[in-house]
Amino acid sequence: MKNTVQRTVSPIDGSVVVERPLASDADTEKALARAVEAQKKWRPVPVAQRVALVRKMVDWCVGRADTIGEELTRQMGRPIAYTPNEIRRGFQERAQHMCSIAEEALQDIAITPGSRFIRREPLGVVLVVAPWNYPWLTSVNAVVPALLAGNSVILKMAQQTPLVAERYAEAFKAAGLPDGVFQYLHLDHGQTAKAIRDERIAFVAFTGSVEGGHAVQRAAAERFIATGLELGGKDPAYVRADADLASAVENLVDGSYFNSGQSCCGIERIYVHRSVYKPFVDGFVELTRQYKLGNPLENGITLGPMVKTQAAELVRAHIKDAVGKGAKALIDPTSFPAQKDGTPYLAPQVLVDVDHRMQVMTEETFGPVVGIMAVDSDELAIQLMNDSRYGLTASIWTKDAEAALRIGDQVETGTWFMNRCDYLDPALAWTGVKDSGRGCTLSRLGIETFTRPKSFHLKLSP
Amino acid sequence: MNIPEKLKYTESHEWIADNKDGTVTIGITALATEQLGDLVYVELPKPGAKFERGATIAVVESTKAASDVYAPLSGEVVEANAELSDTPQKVNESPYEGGWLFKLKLSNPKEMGELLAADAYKKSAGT
Repeated sequence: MKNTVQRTVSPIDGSVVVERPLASDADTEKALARAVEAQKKWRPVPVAQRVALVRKMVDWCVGRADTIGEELTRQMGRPIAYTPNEIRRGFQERAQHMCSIAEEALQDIAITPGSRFIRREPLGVVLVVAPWNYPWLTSVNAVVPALLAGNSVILKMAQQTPLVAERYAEAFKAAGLPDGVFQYLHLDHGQTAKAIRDERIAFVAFTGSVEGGHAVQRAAAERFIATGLELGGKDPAYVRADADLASAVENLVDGSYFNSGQSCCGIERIYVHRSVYKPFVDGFVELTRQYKLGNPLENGITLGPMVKTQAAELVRAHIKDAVGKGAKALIDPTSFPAQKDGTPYLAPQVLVDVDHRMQVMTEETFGPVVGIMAVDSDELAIQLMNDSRYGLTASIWTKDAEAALRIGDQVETGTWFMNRCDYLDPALAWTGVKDSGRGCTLSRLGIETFTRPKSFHLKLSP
Repeated sequence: MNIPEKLKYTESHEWIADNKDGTVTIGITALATEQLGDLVYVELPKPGAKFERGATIAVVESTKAASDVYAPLSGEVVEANAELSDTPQKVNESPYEGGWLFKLKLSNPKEMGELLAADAYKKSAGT
């Protein structure tokens, strides 16, 4: 059996919004051959010129942010009030930052100028495998630095958001990028694994589930190529007694429910000092009740459907598991009329009286539900934050910067936030520990990811 | 994942049951149906049609994909599962029983030796 056509089913109403033929074996072969040839010509292009082309691509996308945002809403269900900002804010901010640091990041490291130095060479053809939840934000982390470093790129975008790959191609073409330097392929899982096994692929940048990360690693197992794996999270927040509660509530509610909780660095569990637990929970519930769940194409909707019914059913199962083990659900789902079992429309939920026997506190839920637990000390908060197979981001809410640093040193995480969450700073390394993955993107290190060191040692006089 | 020991498999997710009378029954595996999602249409070959191994012999369509099914062995179609035209979801519900696709009378029984046992299929599918 071999898939020949992929269909994108909109979570809004179950209709097919995009249908595309999957690449044939011949299509894939052609793309790989073109990518190799194009990279040979792209590699000698000066970095400043690469930067200029990428900036034009970004401008093209930003100029069409409303159109791109609407088609993104139709593909994956995030409210239209937010989708254009994926282009205008995060996508643009990250791409522009990487453009601004590329020349410096790619300079030779001189030991003895002119005779002993380390050069950062491009790897060759980079395969970027990107997910549907933030398809522009996740792909830009790899597509842009890979190109800036002199690689060619093949993008395999998730089946849920194939139009993103096509818009990239249009944008790069309009910017004047030479043919073949950027290409996309619509592939299924088996075809993707086959491409990874091809000797012409020099690096795989994957963002997605732990299960997907394992599949990428298995496919690459017979080869000595590197893989960047940005996987899941079970990101905790710790609200200390000295926190600005109003700010903590506002930011953590947004961090929990934005994009229906379908964010790799979304807030999934919150530990609150017992002395401020009650006012924190009361404020959290009050703000959660203000969400408007419904058709994400309508004005005023702040919470859309989850990406598919199966995903919503998993979240419902986690809630049921928690309640069965003694948790209390503080939101009445019937107060969200659009909520309906058996559909992707799911009301947000706040669970208290939770503990780590419950799936909702230990497994990635990836939905609009959060568990809140009282703690009596920094030590217990650290222990609970670290009691997880994941480690993508964690946050502390306090006025005490010294305590934030001291506690942050003990938390197993890729990024440690104080008084903020659910944000990627393009100047900092985006990385994870444990099952959250390996490698990093963004920052200067995220450009180096797409290079290999080559040492030059010239004896200038015999 | 349900991968019955008594059946043979291909890397492309077809299963084959040897009926011990020169014919085999063929379907797609539970893993394949999981990847496809809910089937909405099945196009099956007509009895009497002959296929070489590797030829496209059937098409299955779900809400999220259309897929060609390959003939895992060479032979002549002796029966197709007529119930699937009205109830394609049977392939999802019961991939190894009520959801079988077609039966072939083998033209080259030696090809049976090249099919995968359950363990080898599990390995190839990464499960």
